[in-house]
Amino acid sequence: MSGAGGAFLGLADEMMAQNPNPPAVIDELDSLR
Amino acid sequence: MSEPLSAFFKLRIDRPKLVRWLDSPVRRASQWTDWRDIGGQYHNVGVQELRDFSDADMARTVAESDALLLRYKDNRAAVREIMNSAEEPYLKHASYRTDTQDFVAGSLTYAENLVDYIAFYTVVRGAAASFAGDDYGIAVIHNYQWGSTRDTSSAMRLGPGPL
Repeated sequence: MSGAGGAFLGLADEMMAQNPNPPAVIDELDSLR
Repeated sequence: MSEPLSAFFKLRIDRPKLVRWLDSPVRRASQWTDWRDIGGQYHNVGVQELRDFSDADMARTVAESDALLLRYKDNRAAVREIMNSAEEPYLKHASYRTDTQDFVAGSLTYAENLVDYIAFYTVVRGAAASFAGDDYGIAVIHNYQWGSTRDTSSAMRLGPGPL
């Protein structure tokens, strides 16, 4: 287990920026059938 | 550690295999013996380096992770629980891109203890059994939210290709 640590920085920055009302919620888990 | 760290993973895998994995039973943490490789410091006997955990403490921690994982009937339920840790709805994420075949999921406010981290990595590394070709996965526990530093606590790469 090592490496790959920065792979999600862009995604996290995008999520943290989601403050307008209503904030965007990205949840496609239940559609993956 | 006193604040929940973020936990995210990505699987590059075609949709049928992803769906099969989501609907498959969760693995057990005790299936692997390399958990000390996560590294870092955790509350045990005071704050202790993971590499210095006794075998008994390591076994107890892994058993607690197994007990946590037993609550989930499949990987979908486990991923849902990871996402449910988000303290606000927009701090969770699950998406699948058909162009790149990337499934990304996680929570910016996942957990702050080793038992949960091992459970998280167990869920993700169970997907590797579904890999073929150039499929791969990465997972990371990272401090996105708290304090002035953004540190990667630990990370894991799976693949490419089948086990």
